[in-house]
Amino acid sequence: MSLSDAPLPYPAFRLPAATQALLPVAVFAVAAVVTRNPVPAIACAALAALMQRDLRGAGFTVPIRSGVIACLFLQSGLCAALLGQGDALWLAIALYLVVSRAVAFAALRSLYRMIALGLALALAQILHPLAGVVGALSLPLLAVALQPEDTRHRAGFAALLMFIPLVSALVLAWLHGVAGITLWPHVPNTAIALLPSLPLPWRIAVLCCCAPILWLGVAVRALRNRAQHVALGIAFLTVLVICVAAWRGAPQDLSSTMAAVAALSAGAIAAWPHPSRNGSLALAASALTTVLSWLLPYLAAAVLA
Amino acid sequence: MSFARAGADVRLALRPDATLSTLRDLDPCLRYGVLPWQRAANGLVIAASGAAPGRAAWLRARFGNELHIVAISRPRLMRAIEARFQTRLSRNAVHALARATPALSARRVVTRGQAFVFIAALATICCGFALWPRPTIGFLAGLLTLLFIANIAFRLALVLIGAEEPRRFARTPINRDDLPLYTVLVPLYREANMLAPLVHALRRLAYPPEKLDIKLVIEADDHGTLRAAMAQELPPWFEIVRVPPSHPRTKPKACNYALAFARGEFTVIFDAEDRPEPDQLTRAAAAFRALPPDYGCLQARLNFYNRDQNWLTRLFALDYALWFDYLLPGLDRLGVPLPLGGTSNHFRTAHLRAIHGWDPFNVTEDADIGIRMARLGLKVATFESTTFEEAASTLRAWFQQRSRWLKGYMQTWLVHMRNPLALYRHGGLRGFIAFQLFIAGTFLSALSNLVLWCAFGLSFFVPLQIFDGALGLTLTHLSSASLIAGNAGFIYLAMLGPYRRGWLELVPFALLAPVYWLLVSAAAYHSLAQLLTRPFYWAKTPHGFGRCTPS
Repeated sequence: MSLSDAPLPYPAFRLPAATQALLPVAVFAVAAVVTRNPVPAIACAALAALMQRDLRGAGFTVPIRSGVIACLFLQSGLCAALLGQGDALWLAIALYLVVSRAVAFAALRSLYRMIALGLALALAQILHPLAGVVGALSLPLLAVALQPEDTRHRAGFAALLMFIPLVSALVLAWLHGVAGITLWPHVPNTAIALLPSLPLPWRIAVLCCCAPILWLGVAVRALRNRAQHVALGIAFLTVLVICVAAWRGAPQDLSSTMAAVAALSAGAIAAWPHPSRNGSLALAASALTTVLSWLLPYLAAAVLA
Repeated sequence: MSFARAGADVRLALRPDATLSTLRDLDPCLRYGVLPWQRAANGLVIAASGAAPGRAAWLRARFGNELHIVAISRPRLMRAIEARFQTRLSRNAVHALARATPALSARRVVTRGQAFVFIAALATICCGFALWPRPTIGFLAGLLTLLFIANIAFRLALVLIGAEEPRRFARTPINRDDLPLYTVLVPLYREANMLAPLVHALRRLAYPPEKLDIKLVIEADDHGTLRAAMAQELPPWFEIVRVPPSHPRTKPKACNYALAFARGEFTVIFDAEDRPEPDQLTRAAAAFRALPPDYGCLQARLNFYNRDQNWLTRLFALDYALWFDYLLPGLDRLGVPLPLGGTSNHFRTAHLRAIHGWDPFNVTEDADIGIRMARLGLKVATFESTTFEEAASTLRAWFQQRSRWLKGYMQTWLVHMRNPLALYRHGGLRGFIAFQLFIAGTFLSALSNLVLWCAFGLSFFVPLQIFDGALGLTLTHLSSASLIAGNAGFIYLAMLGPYRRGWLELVPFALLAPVYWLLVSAAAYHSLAQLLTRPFYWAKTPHGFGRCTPS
């Protein structure tokens, strides 16, 4: 028996079920104080509740998951979003939903998880345009990465996976085109910049320098399973979409990227193998991610500029 | 009490004396394999087949000590018992339920009160059209949309509930000796071609033959099927029950007739084309043992062995997969009345007799008996075992079958809505709502689908005054939204159907669900017309054309 397989010499620390609500409530309170706006505060609480649910489902203990969630909310992207107008927060929620549902479905192919993934991809379109694009680009990735082994079933699987996102895209297009409804009213056209204005190539280079942040969440326990492949794929697509958006003149900048990275890291950590053995490592990775999310952009900017 | 061999006894040459036994003697006669035959100078001649514990005691208690037991073959005894009791049994098969609980029988299609309500509603709508045409149309369009969307939302919710892990009954290992006697009723009508595969499928049942009581229930004037059945060289645990011709000529009437001859603790219905999984009876027996005695029925899952035959069978398979793998388990989990599906309904025989069997006037007797059992305090559950059937593979056969089902759902709704308060008291609020959404929702959504398509088409392609202005815009948007949402719902539900079985190759065909639902809609109008003109007509679905899909 290896050391990591050995049972703990003391009982695992567990809190009563009612205390599960404490963390989202605390997040809501802090966010409400910081933003003075209930909508982003509710969104933060929802994100915290979702993360807690997934980390609990993965088997992380209460202290570990509280620590992981706290670290993620302290990351530069989410902090900037809370201090700003919530744009990056919606992106983070949408991406977290997509990546966590995809990872959950990769781990267990149940009907619930299939429906939840479809709904997450549809919701991503509603919450943020960039998340919608990431979701759309993720569809072929998911269809290939999660496809059944039997070749006769692949077309059916792809159809099942794509149906809800396609219908929601059609409905959004119809609402916008025919009914004249404004999409994404909650997404402002400005975003808080983490850094002083840099030329575009430098900004993209800074983004690339932030790769270790993502790597910590996604790949620190090695790419052992399909769920991790999916998380990494979506993360790569996210960075790509934000780079292209920045290239095309979209206002989303580094804070959006960092917020997205925070969400993706949380989703990926929930897919770690053997949470009972890796709890401390997950907490350490989250803490390091938080530190790096503050340091790396500035360091990279300073060096590159 | 004396004993003699059949061949040596001339007393059996005569016909049984009808005055010696009453209908109450039928059950013990079947259980002990006896029939009082004739009066003799020194006692009573009793024909008996095989050995049965407790027989002598019962005979003495019923007929006294002066008895002459004469051995007789089982088939001859069965024919004699049938001949002795058939008139009364045939009458009971048709009228028992209507006599005992007329309010729960479909013999009367619409009660006076219901007719009054329908006429009043129709008159109100007509007045509305005459006096306030636009608001009336707006109201009706809104109502239809609401019904349509509520039905689909309820089904989606049922899929989510039914997608939970199926209930695992404690697999208490039952010894071969402890297995109960199981009656299998197989009603057959003009299905001579199905006899050989049917007998093969029933022989494959992994159940001790001595504990099986298989009855091929054949109309006495269906000579082709009778001849084919007799040509099969049936093993001793198979029996042929001849149903005397009478009206209505329906499957439930035949089953009621045969139920009187059932000897098993449990009774299951299979159709001629059914291929049940071999361990289905063992599973059902184990589930019954694990469940409290108020569970009166267990429904197995159904699907098709010829699902890959053509586009229609594929769509039908999607429909069935959704129905039996998700919707019925969803209803089961909700604990609301559950309309049973065509075959593979496993009953506790005593409960089935206590509720007077099936309603011979209802053309979906299976759906009706599920609801009736719930109203009478009996529970129905689903269990995991599949019977594979033959899907109707031609449009004509499918249309006939679907029309009958929808007509039966209308009958069932009318019967149980004769007294809505009583239904509410028996089923509770949840049961009442589920009944409305599932039974009425099935045929109302089918009926409204075509109306919505027509409204949608008219609003776009025909310049009518009604579609002008704000109301017209609202109507157009309502019909468009309900069509898009409704048909997207149909497609997605159909896509989810085969997920549990892993038949994902069928999923792309779900995109044809709107076409399928248009056909269902046409069948709904046909069934409505038939309900008014030929309510008890049983459109027989022809079988024997299915090509098996390799599993």
